[in-house]
Amino acid sequence: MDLKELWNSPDVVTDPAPQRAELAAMLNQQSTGILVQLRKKLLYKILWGLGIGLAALGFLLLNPYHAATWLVAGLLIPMVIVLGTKLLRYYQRLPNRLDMDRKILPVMQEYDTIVREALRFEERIGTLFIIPAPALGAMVALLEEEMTFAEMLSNGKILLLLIGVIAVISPLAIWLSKWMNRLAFQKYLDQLAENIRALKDLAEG
Amino acid sequence: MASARQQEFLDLIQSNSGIIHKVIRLYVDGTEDQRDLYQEIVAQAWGSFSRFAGNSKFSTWLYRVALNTALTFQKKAQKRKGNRSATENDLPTVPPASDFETRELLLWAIRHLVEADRMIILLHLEGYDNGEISDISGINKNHVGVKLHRIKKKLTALLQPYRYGSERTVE
Repeated sequence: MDLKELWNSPDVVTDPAPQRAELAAMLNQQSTGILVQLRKKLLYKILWGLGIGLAALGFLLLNPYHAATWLVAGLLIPMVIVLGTKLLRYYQRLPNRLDMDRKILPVMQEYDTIVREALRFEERIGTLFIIPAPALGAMVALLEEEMTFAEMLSNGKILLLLIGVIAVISPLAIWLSKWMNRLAFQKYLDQLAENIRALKDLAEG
Repeated sequence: MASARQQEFLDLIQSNSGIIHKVIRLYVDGTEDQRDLYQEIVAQAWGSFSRFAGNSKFSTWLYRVALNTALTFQKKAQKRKGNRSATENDLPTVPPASDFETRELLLWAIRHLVEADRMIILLHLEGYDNGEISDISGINKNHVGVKLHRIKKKLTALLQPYRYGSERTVE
């Protein structure tokens, strides 16, 4: 018996034919495919960043005369502008409309490249901002104690404390941001990479 | 009220529903995943239907859409486990004895192939020649032949204990 003969042999499972009304309801449903999910996750990331930026701005507007608010906003707002603008450009490069009746490999490769680039960029630039963030947080706390910047920076103990805070909290924050990216994107990127590899293998013989 | 184009699409889908069922049974397990992939294929096909000009047969066009959608489908099991797509480790190592004389045995063996290979063998089994498989999958025609040969060898090895004598190979 050959494969085609076996393929045409009786089926154990009978596939139910969907009713017309059921089919009609399927026409405009949201896609759950990995490409759409990746695009959506990138958009959520941008919106999340925008939320942080707006919160920082609100904080600044509520306490415009407090040095601490300028410190926080001075760190967060440029970060949101730089990251948000760049991530939005990456997002716009992802094809909005997926044509499943065309070759899928180039589309999958495009998605894979753009999303990985976006995440790498975010992690690198994010790191630049995350490193001083804990120290700034500590300084804000000290400002609450009514110490001036000059007093803080001339105090050896406080300088040591700030360096300590950077040394301990910053790597944790960097690890946490990478972990969050893995949680949100990795399973989609893994499946994409696996299928790209298999399709490339097919295409190259 | 549904447009004439929508009615035409629904007619075509209903009469070619078997194609979607074959694809989903090769790519996903479980009722929930199968239902989701079915819906996804129908939605994607509808989204691309405006470009279907009738230059090829609808069934050929639907195979392309269904296979592309299956390759980019996020399975529920993966969502829960957060791991990679199904590998042979997720499949039963031995098929149920009741399947030995049926298509189910072949489906079991094909499910052990990587997802891209399943596409090639499915189209071959459905009677498409290498040129048509190349058109649908976007793979070079010469490579289709080579790949099919390798896939058949893999399937022979998988099926041999259940259907074939040690001397026989599948064609």
